Amino acid sequence: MTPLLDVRDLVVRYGAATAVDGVSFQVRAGETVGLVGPSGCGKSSTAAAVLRLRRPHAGEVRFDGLELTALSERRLRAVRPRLQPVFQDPYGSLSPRRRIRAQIAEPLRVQGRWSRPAGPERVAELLDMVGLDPVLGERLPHELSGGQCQRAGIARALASAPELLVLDEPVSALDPSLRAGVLNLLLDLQDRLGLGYLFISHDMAAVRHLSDRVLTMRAGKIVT
Amino acid sequence: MPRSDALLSVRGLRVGFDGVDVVRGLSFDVLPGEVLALVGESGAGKSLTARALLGMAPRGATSAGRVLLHGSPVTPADWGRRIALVPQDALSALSPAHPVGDQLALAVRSVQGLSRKDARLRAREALSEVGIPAARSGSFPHEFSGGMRQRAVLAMALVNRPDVVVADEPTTALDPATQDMVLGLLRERCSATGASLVLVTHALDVVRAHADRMAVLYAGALAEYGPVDRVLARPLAPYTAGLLASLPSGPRPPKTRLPVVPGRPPAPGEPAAGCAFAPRCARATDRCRTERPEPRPLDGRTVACHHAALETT
Repeated sequence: MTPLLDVRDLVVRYGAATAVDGVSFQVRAGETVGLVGPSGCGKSSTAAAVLRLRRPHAGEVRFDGLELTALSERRLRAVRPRLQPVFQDPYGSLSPRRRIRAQIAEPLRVQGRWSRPAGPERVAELLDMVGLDPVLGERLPHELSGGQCQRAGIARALASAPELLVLDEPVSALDPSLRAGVLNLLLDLQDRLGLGYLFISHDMAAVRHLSDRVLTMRAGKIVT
Repeated sequence: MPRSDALLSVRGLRVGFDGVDVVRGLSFDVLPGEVLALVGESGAGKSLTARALLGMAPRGATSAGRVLLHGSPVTPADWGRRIALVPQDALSALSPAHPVGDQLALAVRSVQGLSRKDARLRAREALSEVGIPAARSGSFPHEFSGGMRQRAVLAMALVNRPDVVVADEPTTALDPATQDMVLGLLRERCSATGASLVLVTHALDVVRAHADRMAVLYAGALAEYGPVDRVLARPLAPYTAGLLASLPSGPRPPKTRLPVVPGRPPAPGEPAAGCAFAPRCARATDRCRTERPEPRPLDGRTVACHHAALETT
Protein backbone atom coordinates (compact mmCIF):
# COMPACT_ATOMS: atom_id res chain seq x y z
CA MET A 1 0.00 0.00 0.00
CA THR A 2 1.29 3.47 -0.87
CA PRO A 3 1.84 5.48 2.30
CA LEU A 4 -0.25 8.65 2.57
CA LEU A 5 2.85 10.74 3.12
CA ASP A 6 6.31 9.67 2.08
CA VAL A 7 9.13 12.10 2.88
CA ARG A 8 12.56 11.24 1.52
CA ASP A 9 15.92 12.91 2.23
CA LEU A 10 14.27 16.26 2.91
CA VAL A 11 16.62 19.25 3.18
CA VAL A 12 15.44 22.73 4.19
CA ARG A 13 17.90 25.62 4.30
CA TYR A 14 17.60 29.22 5.44
CA GLY A 15 20.50 30.92 3.71
CA ALA A 16 23.62 29.15 4.91
CA ALA A 17 21.87 27.46 7.83
CA THR A 18 20.50 23.95 7.33
CA ALA A 19 17.32 23.49 9.37
CA VAL A 20 16.36 20.06 8.03
CA ASP A 21 19.23 17.84 6.99
CA GLY A 22 18.11 14.71 5.13
CA VAL A 23 14.91 13.65 6.90
CA SER A 24 12.91 10.60 5.74
CA PHE A 25 9.70 9.17 7.20
CA GLN A 26 6.26 7.92 6.22
CA VAL A 27 2.73 8.41 7.52
CA ARG A 28 0.04 5.90 6.60
CA ALA A 29 -3.71 6.51 6.58
CA GLY A 30 -5.18 6.21 10.08
CA GLU A 31 -1.73 6.47 11.64
CA THR A 32 -0.24 9.12 13.91
CA VAL A 33 3.47 9.85 13.66
CA GLY A 34 4.79 12.06 16.45
CA LEU A 35 7.70 14.41 15.76
CA VAL A 36 9.51 15.74 18.83
CA GLY A 37 12.74 17.54 19.63
CA PRO A 38 14.13 20.73 21.17
CA SER A 39 13.44 24.23 19.82
CA GLY A 40 15.23 24.81 16.55
CA CYS A 41 15.70 21.12 15.73
CA GLY A 42 13.79 21.48 12.45
CA LYS A 43 10.35 20.09 13.41
CA SER A 44 8.35 23.05 12.18
CA SER A 45 10.53 23.48 9.09
CA THR A 46 9.75 19.87 8.24
CA ALA A 47 6.03 20.62 8.65
CA ALA A 48 6.32 23.73 6.48
CA ALA A 49 8.02 21.71 3.74
CA VAL A 50 5.41 18.95 3.94
CA LEU A 51 2.66 21.56 3.56
CA ARG A 52 4.71 23.21 0.79
CA LEU A 53 4.54 26.48 2.71
CA ARG A 54 8.27 26.46 2.07
CA ARG A 55 9.96 24.86 -0.92
CA PRO A 56 12.58 22.37 0.30
CA HIS A 57 16.15 22.65 -0.96
CA ALA A 58 16.32 18.97 -1.78
CA GLY A 59 14.45 15.72 -1.26
CA GLU A 60 10.96 14.50 -2.01
CA VAL A 61 7.57 14.94 -0.39
CA ARG A 62 5.17 12.40 -1.86
CA PHE A 63 1.53 12.69 -0.92
CA ASP A 64 -0.52 9.66 -1.98
CA GLY A 65 2.18 8.94 -4.55
CA LEU A 66 2.26 12.49 -5.93
CA GLU A 67 5.55 14.40 -5.72
CA LEU A 68 4.70 17.82 -4.22
CA THR A 69 8.05 19.61 -4.23
CA ALA A 70 8.10 20.05 -8.01
CA LEU A 71 4.41 20.82 -8.43
CA SER A 72 3.31 24.17 -9.87
CA GLU A 73 1.15 26.40 -7.64
CA ARG A 74 -1.81 25.65 -9.89
CA ARG A 75 -1.44 21.86 -9.67
CA LEU A 76 -0.71 22.19 -5.95
CA ARG A 77 -4.05 23.91 -5.40
CA ALA A 78 -5.85 20.70 -6.27
CA VAL A 79 -3.83 18.75 -3.67
CA ARG A 80 -3.81 21.29 -0.83
CA PRO A 81 -7.30 20.49 0.51
CA ARG A 82 -6.17 16.92 1.12
CA LEU A 83 -3.44 17.91 3.58
CA GLN A 84 -4.39 20.54 6.13
CA PRO A 85 -2.54 22.24 8.98
CA VAL A 86 -3.73 22.88 12.53
CA PHE A 87 -1.52 25.40 14.33
CA GLN A 88 -0.67 26.24 17.91
CA ASP A 89 -2.45 29.53 18.48
CA PRO A 90 -6.20 28.94 18.24
CA TYR A 91 -7.00 32.66 18.04
CA GLY A 92 -4.19 33.53 15.64
CA SER A 93 -5.30 30.79 13.21
CA LEU A 94 -8.69 32.40 12.65
CA SER A 95 -9.61 35.85 11.44
CA PRO A 96 -10.73 37.92 14.44
CA ARG A 97 -13.37 39.78 12.41
CA ARG A 98 -15.39 37.01 10.82
CA ARG A 99 -17.97 34.70 12.34
CA ILE A 100 -16.90 31.13 12.96
CA ARG A 101 -19.40 29.68 10.47
CA ALA A 102 -18.15 31.95 7.67
CA GLN A 103 -14.58 30.82 8.30
CA ILE A 104 -15.52 27.15 8.25
CA ALA A 105 -17.52 27.76 5.03
CA GLU A 106 -14.58 29.44 3.31
CA PRO A 107 -12.73 26.29 2.16
CA LEU A 108 -16.02 25.00 0.72
CA ARG A 109 -16.54 28.25 -1.20
CA VAL A 110 -12.96 28.46 -2.42
CA GLN A 111 -13.09 24.87 -3.64
CA GLY A 112 -16.40 25.48 -5.42
CA ARG A 113 -18.29 23.08 -3.18
CA TRP A 114 -20.68 25.65 -1.72
CA SER A 115 -24.39 25.48 -2.43
CA ARG A 116 -27.63 25.94 -0.54
CA PRO A 117 -28.85 24.25 1.52
CA ALA A 118 -25.99 21.72 1.47
CA GLY A 119 -23.29 24.30 2.42
CA PRO A 120 -24.80 25.57 5.67
CA GLU A 121 -25.77 22.01 6.56
CA ARG A 122 -22.17 20.88 6.08
CA VAL A 123 -20.95 23.72 8.36
CA ALA A 124 -23.40 22.66 11.07
CA GLU A 125 -22.28 19.07 10.65
CA LEU A 126 -18.61 20.04 10.97
CA LEU A 127 -19.31 22.07 14.12
CA ASP A 128 -21.15 19.11 15.56
CA MET A 129 -18.30 16.78 14.57
CA VAL A 130 -15.80 18.79 16.65
CA GLY A 131 -18.21 19.00 19.56
CA LEU A 132 -19.29 22.63 19.16
CA ASP A 133 -22.93 23.67 19.44
CA PRO A 134 -23.91 25.05 16.00
CA VAL A 135 -25.11 28.28 17.66
CA LEU A 136 -21.44 28.98 18.40
CA GLY A 137 -21.01 29.36 14.63
CA GLU A 138 -22.58 32.79 15.00
CA ARG A 139 -19.78 33.95 17.31
CA LEU A 140 -16.50 35.71 16.65
CA PRO A 141 -13.29 33.93 17.73
CA HIS A 142 -12.74 36.11 20.81
CA GLU A 143 -16.19 35.10 22.05
CA LEU A 144 -15.03 31.48 22.32
CA SER A 145 -12.75 29.82 24.86
CA GLY A 146 -9.31 28.66 23.70
CA GLY A 147 -10.49 25.05 23.52
CA GLN A 148 -13.62 25.98 21.54
CA CYS A 149 -11.55 28.13 19.22
CA GLN A 150 -9.06 25.31 18.57
CA ARG A 151 -12.02 23.03 17.78
CA ALA A 152 -13.28 25.64 15.29
CA GLY A 153 -9.82 25.63 13.68
CA ILE A 154 -9.98 21.85 13.39
CA ALA A 155 -13.51 22.10 11.90
CA ARG A 156 -12.17 24.48 9.26
CA ALA A 157 -9.34 22.08 8.44
CA LEU A 158 -11.90 19.25 8.13
CA ALA A 159 -14.09 21.32 5.76
CA SER A 160 -11.59 20.52 3.02
CA ALA A 161 -12.17 16.79 3.58
CA PRO A 162 -8.45 16.22 4.23
CA GLU A 163 -6.70 12.87 4.47
CA LEU A 164 -3.70 14.15 6.41
CA LEU A 165 -3.59 16.71 9.22
CA VAL A 166 -0.28 18.35 10.09
CA LEU A 167 -0.74 19.24 13.75
CA ASP A 168 1.91 21.73 14.89
CA GLU A 169 1.61 22.07 18.69
CA PRO A 170 -2.20 21.85 18.50
CA VAL A 171 -2.78 21.74 22.27
CA SER A 172 0.21 23.65 23.68
CA ALA A 173 -1.65 26.93 24.03
CA LEU A 174 -4.63 25.32 25.75
CA ASP A 175 -5.28 25.21 29.47
CA PRO A 176 -4.80 21.76 31.01
CA SER A 177 -8.51 21.19 31.63
CA LEU A 178 -9.29 21.85 27.95
CA ARG A 179 -6.34 19.89 26.52
CA ALA A 180 -7.75 16.41 27.17
CA GLY A 181 -10.95 17.27 25.30
CA VAL A 182 -9.07 18.31 22.14
CA LEU A 183 -6.78 15.25 22.31
CA ASN A 184 -9.87 13.01 22.59
CA LEU A 185 -11.41 14.83 19.63
CA LEU A 186 -8.32 14.12 17.50
CA LEU A 187 -8.51 10.43 18.43
CA ASP A 188 -12.25 10.27 17.60
CA LEU A 189 -11.80 11.99 14.24
CA GLN A 190 -9.00 9.64 13.30
CA ASP A 191 -11.20 6.63 14.12
CA ARG A 192 -14.15 8.00 12.16
CA LEU A 193 -12.39 9.44 9.15
CA GLY A 194 -9.21 7.35 8.94
CA LEU A 195 -7.04 10.50 8.96
CA GLY A 196 -3.26 10.36 9.04
CA TYR A 197 -1.64 12.74 11.54
CA LEU A 198 1.81 14.26 11.65
CA PHE A 199 1.83 15.46 15.25
CA ILE A 200 4.56 17.94 16.17
CA SER A 201 4.95 18.94 19.80
CA HIS A 202 7.15 19.62 22.80
CA ASP A 203 4.61 17.88 24.96
CA MET A 204 6.07 14.38 25.25
CA ALA A 205 3.12 13.01 27.23
CA ALA A 206 0.61 14.15 24.61
CA VAL A 207 2.77 12.86 21.73
CA ARG A 208 3.27 9.44 23.34
CA HIS A 209 -0.43 9.20 24.08
CA LEU A 210 -1.57 10.01 20.53
CA SER A 211 1.15 8.49 18.37
CA ASP A 212 1.68 5.07 16.85
CA ARG A 213 5.34 5.97 16.29
CA VAL A 214 7.47 8.81 17.68
CA LEU A 215 10.41 10.30 15.77
CA THR A 216 12.93 12.47 17.60
CA MET A 217 14.77 15.21 15.74
CA ARG A 218 17.98 16.88 16.77
CA ALA A 219 19.88 19.48 14.73
CA GLY A 220 17.91 18.77 11.56
CA LYS A 221 18.18 14.98 11.63
CA ILE A 222 15.95 12.21 12.89
CA VAL A 223 17.91 10.49 15.65
CA THR A 224 15.42 7.80 16.69
CA MET B 1 -4.37 29.23 59.39
CA PRO B 2 -1.83 32.03 59.89
CA ARG B 3 1.61 30.61 60.44
CA SER B 4 3.99 32.42 62.71
CA ASP B 5 6.98 31.20 60.71
CA ALA B 6 5.71 32.76 57.46
CA LEU B 7 8.09 35.03 55.56
CA LEU B 8 5.37 36.43 53.36
CA SER B 9 1.73 36.17 54.33
CA VAL B 10 -1.31 36.90 52.19
CA ARG B 11 -4.69 37.41 53.82
CA GLY B 12 -8.01 37.98 52.07
CA LEU B 13 -6.37 39.25 48.88
CA ARG B 14 -8.77 40.65 46.29
CA VAL B 15 -7.80 42.19 42.97
CA GLY B 16 -10.35 43.34 40.45
CA PHE B 17 -11.27 45.61 37.59
CA ASP B 18 -14.40 47.75 37.28
CA GLY B 19 -15.97 46.26 40.38
CA VAL B 20 -15.43 42.66 39.24
CA ASP B 21 -12.97 40.70 41.37
CA VAL B 22 -10.61 38.43 39.48
CA VAL B 23 -8.73 37.37 42.62
CA ARG B 24 -11.54 36.68 45.07
CA GLY B 25 -10.20 36.44 48.59
CA LEU B 26 -6.93 34.50 48.77
CA SER B 27 -5.00 33.59 51.90
CA PHE B 28 -1.72 31.73 51.94
CA ASP B 29 1.81 31.88 53.33
CA VAL B 30 5.27 31.65 51.85
CA LEU B 31 7.67 29.95 54.27
CA PRO B 32 11.39 30.72 54.50
CA GLY B 33 13.43 28.87 51.90
CA GLU B 34 10.54 27.00 50.32
CA VAL B 35 9.37 26.72 46.71
CA LEU B 36 5.65 27.46 46.59
CA ALA B 37 3.88 26.92 43.26
CA LEU B 38 0.84 29.00 42.34
CA VAL B 39 -1.00 26.78 39.88
CA GLY B 40 -3.99 27.63 37.76
CA GLU B 41 -5.37 28.08 34.28
CA SER B 42 -5.58 31.29 32.29
CA GLY B 43 -7.87 33.71 34.08
CA ALA B 44 -7.44 31.99 37.44
CA GLY B 45 -5.68 35.10 38.76
CA LYS B 46 -2.13 33.69 39.06
CA SER B 47 -0.32 36.64 37.52
CA LEU B 48 -2.41 39.24 39.33
CA THR B 49 -1.64 37.44 42.59
CA ALA B 50 2.07 37.27 41.75
CA ARG B 51 2.16 41.00 41.13
CA ALA B 52 0.12 41.70 44.26
CA LEU B 53 2.85 39.96 46.27
CA LEU B 54 5.18 42.76 45.19
CA GLY B 55 2.50 45.40 45.71
CA MET B 56 2.33 45.92 41.96
CA ALA B 57 -1.17 46.27 40.56
CA PRO B 58 -1.93 46.84 36.89
CA ARG B 59 -3.39 50.21 35.91
CA GLY B 60 -7.07 50.50 36.80
CA ALA B 61 -7.02 47.57 39.21
CA THR B 62 -8.53 47.75 42.67
CA SER B 63 -7.19 45.61 45.44
CA ALA B 64 -8.00 44.73 49.02
CA GLY B 65 -6.59 42.44 51.68
CA ARG B 66 -3.11 42.28 53.18
CA VAL B 67 0.26 41.15 51.91
CA LEU B 68 2.89 41.26 54.64
CA LEU B 69 6.60 40.62 54.16
CA HIS B 70 8.48 40.20 57.47
CA GLY B 71 5.27 41.53 59.03
CA SER B 72 5.02 44.79 57.11
CA PRO B 73 3.44 45.83 53.80
CA VAL B 74 5.58 45.57 50.67
CA THR B 75 6.68 48.91 49.20
CA PRO B 76 8.67 49.72 46.06
CA ALA B 77 11.68 50.20 48.33
CA ASP B 78 11.62 46.43 48.90
CA TRP B 79 11.81 45.59 45.20
CA GLY B 80 14.99 43.84 44.26
CA ARG B 81 16.37 43.70 47.79
CA ARG B 82 13.64 41.91 49.74
CA ILE B 83 11.33 40.68 46.99
CA ALA B 84 12.10 40.40 43.28
CA LEU B 85 10.14 39.47 40.18
CA VAL B 86 11.21 37.24 37.31
CA PRO B 87 8.77 38.34 34.63
CA GLN B 88 7.02 36.21 32.03
CA ASP B 89 8.73 37.64 28.98
CA ALA B 90 12.52 37.57 29.25
CA LEU B 91 13.12 39.66 26.17
CA SER B 92 11.06 42.64 27.28
CA ALA B 93 12.59 42.53 30.77
CA LEU B 94 15.99 43.57 29.42
CA SER B 95 16.78 46.83 27.71
CA PRO B 96 17.95 46.22 24.16
CA ALA B 97 20.08 49.37 24.25
CA HIS B 98 22.50 48.60 27.07
CA PRO B 99 25.02 45.84 27.76
CA VAL B 100 23.66 43.24 30.17
CA GLY B 101 26.41 43.88 32.73
CA ASP B 102 25.58 47.61 32.82
CA GLN B 103 21.90 46.83 33.41
CA LEU B 104 22.79 44.57 36.31
CA ALA B 105 25.21 47.13 37.78
CA LEU B 106 22.50 49.78 37.59
CA ALA B 107 20.10 47.45 39.42
CA VAL B 108 22.73 46.99 42.13
CA ARG B 109 23.47 50.70 42.49
CA SER B 110 19.83 51.71 42.62
CA VAL B 111 19.23 49.35 45.54
CA GLN B 112 22.49 49.01 47.46
CA GLY B 113 24.28 52.29 46.89
CA LEU B 114 27.61 50.59 46.11
CA SER B 115 30.38 52.32 44.20
CA ARG B 116 30.41 51.95 40.42
CA LYS B 117 33.31 49.57 40.64
CA ASP B 118 31.78 47.36 43.34
CA ALA B 119 28.46 47.32 41.49
CA ARG B 120 30.21 46.20 38.34
CA LEU B 121 31.98 43.44 40.28
CA ARG B 122 28.71 42.30 41.82
CA ALA B 123 27.08 42.30 38.34
CA ARG B 124 29.82 40.07 36.93
CA GLU B 125 29.51 37.78 39.93
CA ALA B 126 25.72 37.56 39.47
CA LEU B 127 26.21 36.61 35.82
CA SER B 128 28.69 33.87 36.63
CA GLU B 129 26.30 32.56 39.30
CA VAL B 130 23.79 31.81 36.54
CA GLY B 131 26.43 30.30 34.28
CA ILE B 132 27.14 33.28 32.03
CA PRO B 133 30.90 33.96 31.78
CA ALA B 134 31.74 37.33 33.32
CA ALA B 135 33.53 38.12 30.06
CA ARG B 136 30.11 38.33 28.40
CA SER B 137 28.91 41.15 30.67
CA GLY B 138 29.63 43.65 27.88
CA SER B 139 27.26 41.86 25.49
CA PHE B 140 23.84 43.15 24.51
CA PRO B 141 20.72 40.99 25.07
CA HIS B 142 20.34 40.31 21.32
CA GLU B 143 23.80 38.75 21.32
CA PHE B 144 22.58 36.09 23.78
CA SER B 145 20.67 32.91 22.95
CA GLY B 146 17.13 32.51 24.33
CA GLY B 147 18.32 30.36 27.22
CA MET B 148 21.14 32.79 28.10
CA ARG B 149 18.73 35.73 27.98
CA GLN B 150 16.45 33.91 30.40
CA ARG B 151 19.43 33.30 32.69
CA ALA B 152 20.39 36.98 32.49
CA VAL B 153 16.87 37.84 33.65
CA LEU B 154 17.34 35.46 36.59
CA ALA B 155 20.61 37.22 37.40
CA MET B 156 18.75 40.53 37.35
CA ALA B 157 16.21 39.24 39.89
CA LEU B 158 18.90 37.67 42.08
CA VAL B 159 21.59 40.34 41.92
CA ASN B 160 20.50 42.06 45.13
CA ARG B 161 20.00 38.77 47.01
CA PRO B 162 16.26 39.10 47.73
CA ASP B 163 14.46 37.10 50.43
CA VAL B 164 11.63 36.16 48.08
CA VAL B 165 11.76 35.61 44.32
CA VAL B 166 8.44 35.61 42.46
CA ALA B 167 8.74 33.93 39.05
CA ASP B 168 5.73 34.44 36.77
CA GLU B 169 5.74 31.55 34.25
CA PRO B 170 9.43 32.18 33.57
CA THR B 171 9.79 29.30 31.15
CA THR B 172 6.57 28.92 29.14
CA ALA B 173 8.26 30.04 25.91
CA LEU B 174 11.18 27.62 26.27
CA ASP B 175 11.43 24.00 25.20
CA PRO B 176 11.27 21.37 27.97
CA ALA B 177 15.02 20.77 28.29
CA THR B 178 15.82 24.51 28.56
CA GLN B 179 12.81 24.94 30.83
CA ASP B 180 14.13 22.35 33.23
CA MET B 181 17.61 23.86 33.15
CA VAL B 182 16.32 27.38 33.90
CA LEU B 183 14.00 26.24 36.70
CA GLY B 184 16.70 24.02 38.19
CA LEU B 185 19.11 26.94 38.16
CA LEU B 186 16.55 29.30 39.71
CA ARG B 187 15.84 26.81 42.46
CA GLU B 188 19.51 26.18 43.08
CA ARG B 189 20.32 29.91 43.34
CA CYS B 190 17.40 30.47 45.72
CA SER B 191 18.47 27.64 47.96
CA ALA B 192 22.09 28.87 47.90
CA THR B 193 21.00 32.23 49.30
CA GLY B 194 18.13 30.86 51.40
CA ALA B 195 15.54 32.78 49.38
CA SER B 196 11.95 31.58 49.05
CA LEU B 197 10.63 31.04 45.55
CA VAL B 198 7.06 31.59 44.41
CA LEU B 199 6.67 29.82 41.10
CA VAL B 200 3.65 30.73 38.98
CA THR B 201 2.78 28.06 36.44
CA HIS B 202 -0.02 26.17 34.74
CA ALA B 203 2.06 23.01 34.25
CA LEU B 204 1.61 20.30 36.85
CA ASP B 205 4.79 18.50 35.74
CA VAL B 206 6.77 21.66 36.56
CA VAL B 207 5.13 21.70 40.00
CA ARG B 208 5.95 18.04 40.57
CA ALA B 209 9.60 18.52 39.62
CA HIS B 210 10.34 21.83 41.31
CA ALA B 211 7.97 22.82 44.14
CA ASP B 212 7.66 21.92 47.84
CA ARG B 213 4.11 23.17 48.30
CA MET B 214 1.41 24.22 45.90
CA ALA B 215 -1.64 26.46 45.91
CA VAL B 216 -4.17 25.51 43.25
CA LEU B 217 -6.24 28.49 42.13
CA TYR B 218 -9.56 28.24 40.36
CA ALA B 219 -11.41 31.36 39.29
CA GLY B 220 -9.43 33.54 41.67
CA ALA B 221 -9.94 31.41 44.76
CA LEU B 222 -8.02 28.65 46.50
CA ALA B 223 -9.14 25.14 45.54
CA GLU B 224 -6.42 23.18 47.30
CA TYR B 225 -3.23 24.19 49.11
CA GLY B 226 -0.59 21.99 50.66
CA PRO B 227 2.54 19.85 50.20
CA VAL B 228 3.09 18.87 46.55
CA ASP B 229 3.62 15.15 47.19
CA ARG B 230 0.45 14.96 49.25
CA VAL B 231 -1.77 16.92 46.86
CA LEU B 232 -0.54 15.18 43.71
CA ALA B 233 -0.63 11.70 45.24
CA ARG B 234 -4.17 12.15 46.49
CA PRO B 235 -5.94 15.31 45.32
CA LEU B 236 -8.98 16.06 47.47
CA ALA B 237 -10.52 19.05 45.66
CA PRO B 238 -12.59 17.83 42.68
CA TYR B 239 -10.90 20.39 40.41
CA THR B 240 -7.37 19.22 41.29
CA ALA B 241 -8.48 15.60 40.90
CA GLY B 242 -10.08 16.23 37.50
CA LEU B 243 -7.06 18.13 36.25
CA LEU B 244 -4.66 15.37 37.26
CA ALA B 245 -6.83 12.63 35.80
CA SER B 246 -7.01 14.41 32.42
CA LEU B 247 -3.22 14.50 31.93
CA PRO B 248 -2.03 12.24 29.11
CA SER B 249 1.02 11.29 31.19
CA GLY B 250 -0.92 8.92 33.42
CA PRO B 251 -0.39 5.17 33.24
CA ARG B 252 -2.83 4.31 30.46
CA PRO B 253 -2.60 2.61 27.06
CA PRO B 254 -1.86 4.95 24.15
CA LYS B 255 -4.78 6.24 22.07
CA THR B 256 -7.36 5.68 24.82
CA ARG B 257 -9.74 8.53 25.57
CA LEU B 258 -8.72 10.78 28.47
CA PRO B 259 -11.09 11.68 31.31
CA VAL B 260 -12.24 15.23 30.60
CA VAL B 261 -13.20 18.02 32.98
CA PRO B 262 -16.41 19.15 31.24
CA GLY B 263 -17.13 22.78 30.43
CA ARG B 264 -14.65 25.64 30.65
CA PRO B 265 -13.29 27.91 33.37
CA PRO B 266 -15.67 30.79 34.20
CA ALA B 267 -15.02 34.30 32.92
CA PRO B 268 -14.33 36.96 35.59
CA GLY B 269 -17.56 37.99 37.28
CA GLU B 270 -19.28 34.82 36.04
CA PRO B 271 -19.25 32.82 39.29
CA ALA B 272 -22.07 34.64 40.99
CA ALA B 273 -22.68 32.51 44.06
CA GLY B 274 -21.49 29.26 45.52
CA CYS B 275 -18.47 27.26 44.41
CA ALA B 276 -16.96 28.49 41.13
CA PHE B 277 -16.24 24.91 40.06
CA ALA B 278 -19.81 23.68 40.70
CA PRO B 279 -21.00 23.91 37.03
CA ARG B 280 -18.20 21.50 36.01
CA CYS B 281 -18.25 19.26 39.06
CA ALA B 282 -19.82 15.79 39.12
CA ARG B 283 -20.27 16.01 42.88
CA ALA B 284 -21.99 19.40 42.95
CA THR B 285 -25.17 19.71 45.03
CA ASP B 286 -27.54 22.60 45.73
CA ARG B 287 -25.31 23.64 48.59
CA CYS B 288 -22.34 24.03 46.17
CA ARG B 289 -24.43 26.25 43.92
CA THR B 290 -25.47 28.62 46.70
CA GLU B 291 -22.81 28.57 49.38
CA ARG B 292 -19.17 29.28 48.68
CA PRO B 293 -16.93 26.66 50.33
CA GLU B 294 -14.43 28.11 52.80
CA PRO B 295 -10.92 26.62 52.77
CA ARG B 296 -10.64 24.09 55.59
CA PRO B 297 -7.85 21.81 56.82
CA LEU B 298 -8.05 18.19 55.69
CA ASP B 299 -5.39 15.49 55.54
CA GLY B 300 -2.41 17.80 55.96
CA ARG B 301 -3.51 20.38 53.40
CA THR B 302 -6.23 22.99 52.89
CA VAL B 303 -9.23 22.23 50.69
CA ALA B 304 -12.12 24.47 49.61
CA CYS B 305 -14.91 22.00 48.86
CA HIS B 306 -18.09 21.07 50.70
CA HIS B 307 -17.74 17.43 49.77
CA ALA B 308 -14.04 16.69 50.00
CA ALA B 309 -13.45 13.99 52.58
CA LEU B 310 -11.06 11.19 53.25
CA GLU B 311 -12.66 7.96 52.18
CA THR B 312 -12.23 5.58 55.08
CA THR B 313 -11.70 2.44 53.07
